[in-house]
Amino acid sequence: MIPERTLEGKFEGTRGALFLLALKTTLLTFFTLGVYRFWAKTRIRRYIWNATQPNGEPFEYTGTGLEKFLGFLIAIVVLAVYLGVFNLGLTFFGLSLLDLFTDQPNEQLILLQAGLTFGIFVFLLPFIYFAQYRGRRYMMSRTRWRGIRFGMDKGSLGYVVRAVLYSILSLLTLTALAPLMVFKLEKYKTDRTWYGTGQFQQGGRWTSLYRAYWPIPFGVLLFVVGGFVMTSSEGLGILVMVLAYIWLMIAIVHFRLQSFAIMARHKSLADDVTFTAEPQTPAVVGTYLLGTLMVILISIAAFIPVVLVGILISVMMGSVGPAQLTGGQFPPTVIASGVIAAIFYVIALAVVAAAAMVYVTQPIYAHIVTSCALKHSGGLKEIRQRPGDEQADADGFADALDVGGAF
Amino acid sequence: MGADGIDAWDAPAVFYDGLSAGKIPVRATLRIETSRLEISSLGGEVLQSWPFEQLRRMQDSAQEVFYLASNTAEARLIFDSEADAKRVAAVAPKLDKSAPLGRQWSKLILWTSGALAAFALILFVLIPNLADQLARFVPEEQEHKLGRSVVRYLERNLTSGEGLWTCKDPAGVAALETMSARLMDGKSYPAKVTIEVVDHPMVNAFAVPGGSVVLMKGLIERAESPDEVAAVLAHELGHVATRDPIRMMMRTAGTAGMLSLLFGDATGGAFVTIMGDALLRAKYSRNAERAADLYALASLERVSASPEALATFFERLQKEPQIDLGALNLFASHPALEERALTARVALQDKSYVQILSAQEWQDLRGVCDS
Repeated sequence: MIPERTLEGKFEGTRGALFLLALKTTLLTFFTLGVYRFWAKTRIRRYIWNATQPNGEPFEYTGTGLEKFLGFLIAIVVLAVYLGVFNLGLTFFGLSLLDLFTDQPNEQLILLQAGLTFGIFVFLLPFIYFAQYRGRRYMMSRTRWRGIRFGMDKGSLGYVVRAVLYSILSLLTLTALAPLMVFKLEKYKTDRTWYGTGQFQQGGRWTSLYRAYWPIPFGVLLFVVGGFVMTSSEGLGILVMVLAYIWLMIAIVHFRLQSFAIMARHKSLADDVTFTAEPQTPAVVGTYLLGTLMVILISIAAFIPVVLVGILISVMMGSVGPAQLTGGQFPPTVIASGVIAAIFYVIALAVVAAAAMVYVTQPIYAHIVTSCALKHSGGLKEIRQRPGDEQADADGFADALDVGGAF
Repeated sequence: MGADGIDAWDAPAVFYDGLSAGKIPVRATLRIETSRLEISSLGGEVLQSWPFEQLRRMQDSAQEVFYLASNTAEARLIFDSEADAKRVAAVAPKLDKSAPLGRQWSKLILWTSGALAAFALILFVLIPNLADQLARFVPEEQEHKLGRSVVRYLERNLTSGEGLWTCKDPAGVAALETMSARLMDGKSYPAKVTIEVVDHPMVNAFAVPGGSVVLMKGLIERAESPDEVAAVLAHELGHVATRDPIRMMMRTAGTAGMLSLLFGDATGGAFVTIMGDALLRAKYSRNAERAADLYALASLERVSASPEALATFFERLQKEPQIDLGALNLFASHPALEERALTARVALQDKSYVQILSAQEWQDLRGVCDS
C-alpha cells in the first residue's frame, strides 16, 4: 500500500495581472457592443483556471470564445421561438401586458406584475436548469488537470425533471427541504462527472446539510419577531429587523459555502482520491466587506475624470451662451469634450468591473481554493485520458439566461 | 555547456504525457543545433523531442505551461522555476501563435448567417402565421378587453391625465354618429363597432381590437371637408371588417416577446414599448392597407361622397411641413401615396357627389372636443 499523499490547493493568481486582463477584456467588450464578452469570459477563465493549482500543478481551461459565441447563437434562436410563442399565448388569452406596466401602478397591478414576472420565470425555469447542467458539462469538458480532461455524461433532461420537482417540493415546504434539493442535484451532477477514466462519486447524506442550513430559518424567525416587536416599540422592532436582514444575508452565504464544503468532503474520485474543504464563512464575509470598500474607493477615483470633464463642458457652455446655440449647433470644443467624457465614463465602468474582480471575486475564490486539498494513494496514475466532448451549444443557454457563476 | 561539448542547457521540469494523470519528473534540454527541446526521464531516456517552431504556451496564464502545436498532442511541460521557463520562451519563435482558424472562419460565417436567417424566419414567417391562425380563435370578449387596454395605454401615454380624453360634445357626437351610420349602413362587422374622438393634436386614427375606431382631434381639425374625415373613418372601418387589429396585436406580441430576449429583458418593459409604438403607427401589411383603401372608396361611393377625398387629404398633409407631433404617423407605414391617390382618382366617376354631412353637422363635428 502506497502511503497517502496530500495535494494542497494553491492559488497563484496576482491582482495586477488579473486586473489588467479584466480591464482590457471589459473595454473590448464595451467597444464591440458586447460581442467580445464570449472571448472575455474565456480569457478570464483561462487565467483563473491556470492560477488554481493543487500542489502547484495548474488547471487548464481549453474553451474558446468562438465556440461560446456559436453556442449563444443556437441558444437565442431556440429561446426566441419559445418566448415568441409564449407571448402569443398570453395575448391569446386576453392578457395584455399594456395594462400591467404603467406610470401609476396601483396595488392590484403591482401584484399582477409580480405574478406575471413570476409566471415568465416559472416558464423559463426548465430552461434555466437545462442551462445549468449543460453549462457545467461544457465547463467540465473544457477543463484539464495534468493534461487529462474532465467530462460529464449527458443527462440534462433528467436533471431538469429532478430540479423542477425538487424546486416545487422546496417551495411547498418554505425552503425547509432546500438542503434535500441542493444535495440531490449536486449528487446527480457529481455522479456523472469524470476525470479522465476516473468517475466521481458523491457520498454522505442530505440531512448533513442542515448543519449549514439552520441559520436561515433562524433569521426568518428573527425577522418575524422583529415584526411583532414593531407593534409595541417601533425603534426596537426596526433594529431587530435590520439585524435579522444582515443575519439572513450572511446565513445564505454560509449555507452556500458550507454546503459546498460538506459535499466536497464526501466526494471521491476513482475510489481512491478524497477531498478536504474547510472554507471559513467569517473570512469570506470579511473579504467581501473589505473588498467592497476598496471597490467603492476605486469607483470614486475612477469617476473623478468624468466629473472634471463634465464641469469643463458646463463651463464652456456657459461662456458660449444660449444665443449661439440656437441652430442646435454645438461648438466643436464642446462636442470633443463630450466624446472625451463618454470615453472616460466607459473606462471608469471598466475599472470598477475589474476592481470588483480582483478585490472581491478573486480573493473569495482564492480563500476557497486554498482551503481545499485532495488526498490519494497513487490512484491518480491509473487514470487515463478520456475522449473529447463536442457540445455545439457550448454554454450558450447559460449565457443567454444569465445563469452561472462569477467567472 | 553539455558534457558532450554541444551547446546545450537543461533544467528540471514536470511532464504530463496526456495519456495518464500521473506526473513524470523530467529534465528538459535545449538542443540549439537541432532547434529542439528534448524531454528525458530522470533515468536518461528521451521521452519526446519538441521543435522550437512548434512550441506553444498557454495564453492568459499565471504560470507558463508549454505544449506542442498539433491537434493530437495533449502533453504538457511545466518548469520548476520561472527563470528556466523564461529561458525556453526566449528561443521559441512562435510561442504565442494561436491555432489557425481555418475552417472555423467558415463555421463562424455559416452559423451567424444561419442564426440571422432563423431569426428572420421566426420574425417574418413563423410568428405572423401563428398569430394569424390564433387570431381567428380569439373570443370576442377577449378581443374587446384587449382593445380597451390598448386605448387605456395610449391615453396614459399621450395625455397628462387631466381633463377628458374622450370628446363628448353632444352635437359633435351626433354628427359623428350620422357619418358612421351612413358609412356602415347595410354592412356587417365581426363585432359591435364603437367610434370615438379623443382630445389629442396628433393627426391620426386607428382601429383597435374589438371593433373600436379612435379618431384624434388633430385629424378632424386638419380636414377641410367632412368627406376627408369620412374617408379616413371608412378606411379604419375596413380594418375592423377584416379584423386586422387583433391580428396585428397578436403578431406584435409574438415579435416583441422574441425581441425582448435580445434586449436582455424577458419581463415586459421592451415588450410594452414595442407594442405601444406598433399600435400607434398601426403597422399593417401593404395588402391589408390596400384592402382597407378599396373598402373606403366603395363606402364613399355608396353614400355618394367623393372618393377623391381620400386622395386630397393625404396629399395635402404630406405637403405640409411636419408641425404637429407625429402629424404624418398615419401615413408612415402605408402604401405609397401616389398609388393611393391614383386608386382614389380612378374610382372617381363623372357624376355629382354630395358631402356626407351638412354644413351644420360639419361644424358640430369640428367642435366635438369643445365642451
